[in-house]
Amino acid sequence: METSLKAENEALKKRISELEAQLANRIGHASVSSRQSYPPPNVGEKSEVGLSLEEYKRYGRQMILPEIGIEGQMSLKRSRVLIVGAGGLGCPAAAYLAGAGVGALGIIDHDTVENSNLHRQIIHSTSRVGLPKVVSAITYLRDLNPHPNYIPHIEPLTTENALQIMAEYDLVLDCTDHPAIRYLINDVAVIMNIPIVSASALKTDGQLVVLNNPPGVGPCYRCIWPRPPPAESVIGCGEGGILGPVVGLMGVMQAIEAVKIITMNPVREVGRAEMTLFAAYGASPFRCLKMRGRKAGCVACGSPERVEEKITRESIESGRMDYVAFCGGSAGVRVLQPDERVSVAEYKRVMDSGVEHLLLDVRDRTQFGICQLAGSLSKFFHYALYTGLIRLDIPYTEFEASKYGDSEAGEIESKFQDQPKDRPVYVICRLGNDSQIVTRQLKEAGVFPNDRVFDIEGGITAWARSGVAGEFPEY
Amino acid sequence: MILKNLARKSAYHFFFFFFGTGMRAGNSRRALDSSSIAQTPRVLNMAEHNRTPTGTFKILYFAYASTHTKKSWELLPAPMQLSELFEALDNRYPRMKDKVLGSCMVTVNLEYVDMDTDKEKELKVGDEVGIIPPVSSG
Repeated sequence: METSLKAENEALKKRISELEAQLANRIGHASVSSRQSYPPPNVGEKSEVGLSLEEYKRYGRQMILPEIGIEGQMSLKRSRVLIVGAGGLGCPAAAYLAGAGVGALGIIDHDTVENSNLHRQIIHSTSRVGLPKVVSAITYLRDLNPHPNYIPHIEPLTTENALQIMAEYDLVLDCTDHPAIRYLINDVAVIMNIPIVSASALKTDGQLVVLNNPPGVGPCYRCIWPRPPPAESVIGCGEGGILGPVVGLMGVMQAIEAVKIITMNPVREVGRAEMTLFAAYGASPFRCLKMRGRKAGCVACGSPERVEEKITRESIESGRMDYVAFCGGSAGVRVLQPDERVSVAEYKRVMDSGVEHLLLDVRDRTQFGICQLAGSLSKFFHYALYTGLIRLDIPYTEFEASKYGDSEAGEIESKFQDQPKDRPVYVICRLGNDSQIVTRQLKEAGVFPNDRVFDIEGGITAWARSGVAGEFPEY
Repeated sequence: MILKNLARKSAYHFFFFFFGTGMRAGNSRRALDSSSIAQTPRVLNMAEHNRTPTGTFKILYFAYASTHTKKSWELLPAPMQLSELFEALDNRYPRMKDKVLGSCMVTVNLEYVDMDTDKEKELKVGDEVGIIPPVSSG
């Protein structure tokens, strides 16, 4: 009885999700077909809008603020805002902007909701895991406030569609997770004269800055960071970790800045550009940095010395701008030959065969504490690194100089000295990137016989997913 | 060799701890324990409520700048020309210019500075310099 009820419940939930997806697509198509009939809102005449009695009540608490007033509310209702990325930043930003009563809210994202998103991407839900994020988000937002026109874009933002999509909006929120797309949003927004509210978050820190505001006056992303970060230094929330409320805070602050820009009475003074840095665990969590106006020689918003470097509508549309290449391509590590690596299944056989070997876990202590393979050495490795027993030049990973007591240090030290150096060494990490670098460097350091140091492909994650050793947590 | 290394590290941290905060000295063990000095908010707190010692400016490392230097702040000798800053950091932290600084924004006393046009600027005693890389995830 209970099982059949559960099954029926599941089936209905699935059906609802399907219908939601269909509905969202319909709306998407409707907005596409209606697109041609209106000029882009940021250049065309704004049609007059009014508020229903229900809306007076709904927005009353913000309308009575002198900063908003009825004019501000009307500006919100006329505004068309695009949120790029329905993740940790986009979720809270979308919720507050929908709640505040923006006229049109476009959301672009090609991802689907995953279970590991839910600790921070708070407008998605457990029952909507597997649905496109855009559909999930709009389901929530429509329930929160049915008045705005929600425009789904279930696709990635690319050089092919960015100009067309962004032309429909007068403000864009950069809630994305990769530098390549941040540069694309910037360049298109500069061409379209749209301000950008940009934020990012990683671990326990965040950044917030309003760009190209007002268009042609405030600095753009390229004025501040003309060169992209080296590809190997770009880490996402999946690798680096993220505290939910930290990214939530940055998203909420984006909504605040968006409301300020939309309701800005032209006679009021335009604030000087500032960047806000947030460090949840810092002694002074907020730092406000005074920025300058746009850079005269900026390739996006200025006049570069070499004219051919200037980014134009044409250079984007023609595909001459290769944003992925500009940012150094994808950061997948590949530094070893196939015979220097073993699969998790091969390692399981080594483990079962009882062959004497050394398993070096190179994850940091926090991750090692979450789960580890039997017999793996981690402290040993960090201690060896710290004291210089092993000398490696490992960039951008989190090998902290860990703290050890005297007795512990002695124990680890003798363990290293006693360790026969002729046994095979297997190196494991979380995803199989760091372990490759360490394997390569261990070989170069020559502490162990070169032909007997192996990387375990795909790391702990592959170990968990493959199920070679039964149930094992994946995080 | 290990002992030598330990001693070297201890001495370094001892020096840093004592001279860096100007507040208190520890024995070498304690100084070693402060190896992650720059990562702990407690120590940051101490520093932020403390006057910058004579002859230095404070430099803050954010995001991957902090990963590269393995600290979130330190004190460097002042005065220094802004144009010498990247070179000085690169000498201290091999390959930092190439791997970190090339993509970073720099602030002095919470204000953006342009590494091309503000070259003549001098970093003075007590200044606070920020090395701010772009963070892209969200």
